[in-house]
Amino acid sequence: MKKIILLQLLMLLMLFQPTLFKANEYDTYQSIDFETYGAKLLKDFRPYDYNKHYAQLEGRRFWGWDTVTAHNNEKITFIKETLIIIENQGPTSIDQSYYFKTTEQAKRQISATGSIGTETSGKVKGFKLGLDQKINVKYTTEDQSKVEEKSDLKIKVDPMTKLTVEVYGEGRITNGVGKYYRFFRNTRTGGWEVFTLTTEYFSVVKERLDDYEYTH
Amino acid sequence: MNILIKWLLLFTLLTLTGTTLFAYLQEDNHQVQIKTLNQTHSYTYTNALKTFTIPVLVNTLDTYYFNKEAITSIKLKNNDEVLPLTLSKVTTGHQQEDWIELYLDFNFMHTQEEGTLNFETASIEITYINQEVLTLEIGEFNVFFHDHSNPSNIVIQAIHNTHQDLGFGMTSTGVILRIYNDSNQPLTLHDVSLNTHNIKAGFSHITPYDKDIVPYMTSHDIIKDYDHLNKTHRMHPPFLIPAYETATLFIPFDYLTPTILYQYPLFLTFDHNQEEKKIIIDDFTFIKRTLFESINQEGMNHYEPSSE
Repeated sequence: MKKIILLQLLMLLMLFQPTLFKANEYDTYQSIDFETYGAKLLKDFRPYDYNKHYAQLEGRRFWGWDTVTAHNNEKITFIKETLIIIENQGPTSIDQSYYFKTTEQAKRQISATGSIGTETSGKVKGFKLGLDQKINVKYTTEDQSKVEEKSDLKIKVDPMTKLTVEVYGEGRITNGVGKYYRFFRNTRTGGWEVFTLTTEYFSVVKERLDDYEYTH
Repeated sequence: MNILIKWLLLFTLLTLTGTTLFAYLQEDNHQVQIKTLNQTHSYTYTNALKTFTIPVLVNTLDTYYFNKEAITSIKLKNNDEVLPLTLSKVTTGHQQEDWIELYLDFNFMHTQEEGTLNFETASIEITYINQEVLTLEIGEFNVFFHDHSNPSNIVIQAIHNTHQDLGFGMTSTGVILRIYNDSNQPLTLHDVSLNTHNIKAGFSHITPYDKDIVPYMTSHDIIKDYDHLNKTHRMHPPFLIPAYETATLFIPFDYLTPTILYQYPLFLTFDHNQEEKKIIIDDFTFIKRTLFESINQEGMNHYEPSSE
């Protein structure tokens, strides 16, 4: 009887264990919307989603990964954080030619939950134990180093104005769940997700700082 | 003994045949293929900007075609017109199936203080140390060299690009500008240009815009059913901005031919106090998009240089 209770407790613990989400930069975007209704990010997976997809796995194997893709290469649109903010609280315009440097984010980012780990090898971040090879991701990139890009912009920042450059864009999400086996024993379980940045749009807006002046 | 020699000969023959076949297949597998996209390029040249980027797709990185050490000269060409370039940087982008995206950053070798270069059908001609010449078509290329200072009483407060797929890929379809007239005289906008041949600012369809500027707006959100490809221009009075007032306006783009536009400058001509004033908004990258999303690969220029 004790063994049964212990087993039940263990199962309950497994069911409600916190799924530690190893997030990436895209998780900080202001909003992410899927084009396909019903598609969702890994961080929004509920226990029901995990259980549903675990049930689709082929089953115990001698060695290696068993994976299921929940959403394959789903198109998303996102709104990112403001790229730059230049405030001119001085009495004269900032009217010299200037250009700003943007730091290109990794075009491909990955996230994982549960005991599926990620690792960084050189410049490239990937999943542990060769999960990258197992999951079929449409886009890949080896160059995830942060590249400095120059964007030339000659817009005068007048006194008491604030210049902002806003970024939004499109990408692809592929996610799913997986289990890793060693000698038929399940050693790792969890969710995985690959985000691929495909398009960025930039918008330049200047705002008056009048309100700022009164409130600060 | 004879049988042994025969077997040895047969083994050697088979090995040689196998090796030759393998080498042939390997060579075939490494046939370098390159793809380029015909885009509309328009830049302004200032001290701050000396580089422009051309994206290409290649099927292998194991090639000398984009190795600076193997290149002796690079020219931007339009019929007989030639502008020497240097390759400053090659960056790897996305990879999909057998194709890898490369971003080639070029610098102008010679510049001028003022003037315009308009290459309607531009190509980049690369010459290698083995005398081989590779010519890649890139579309329309325009550059405006200037040392212009914008008048201080015309203030550009917002620039927002609209984009949508016009049937040949996502492209810029118009621009929302918020302009403040910081003077005691009215300001009249007379002309808008992108310094491009294939894309014209639809100045005759300029429209006041009084709503919020939000992401993912298309031109059709502002002018319903605007046809960017088949526009019949009508006369429109110049756009007036009263003294010390702000105007937000939408300028749609008219396409004379299907092309892709991601980055462009704006040249605005105003009439102010019986005097013509020009504002140059330097080219800005409004869209950064991987080539795999830009266009169907069938729509790209395809090169197999080593077989030429």
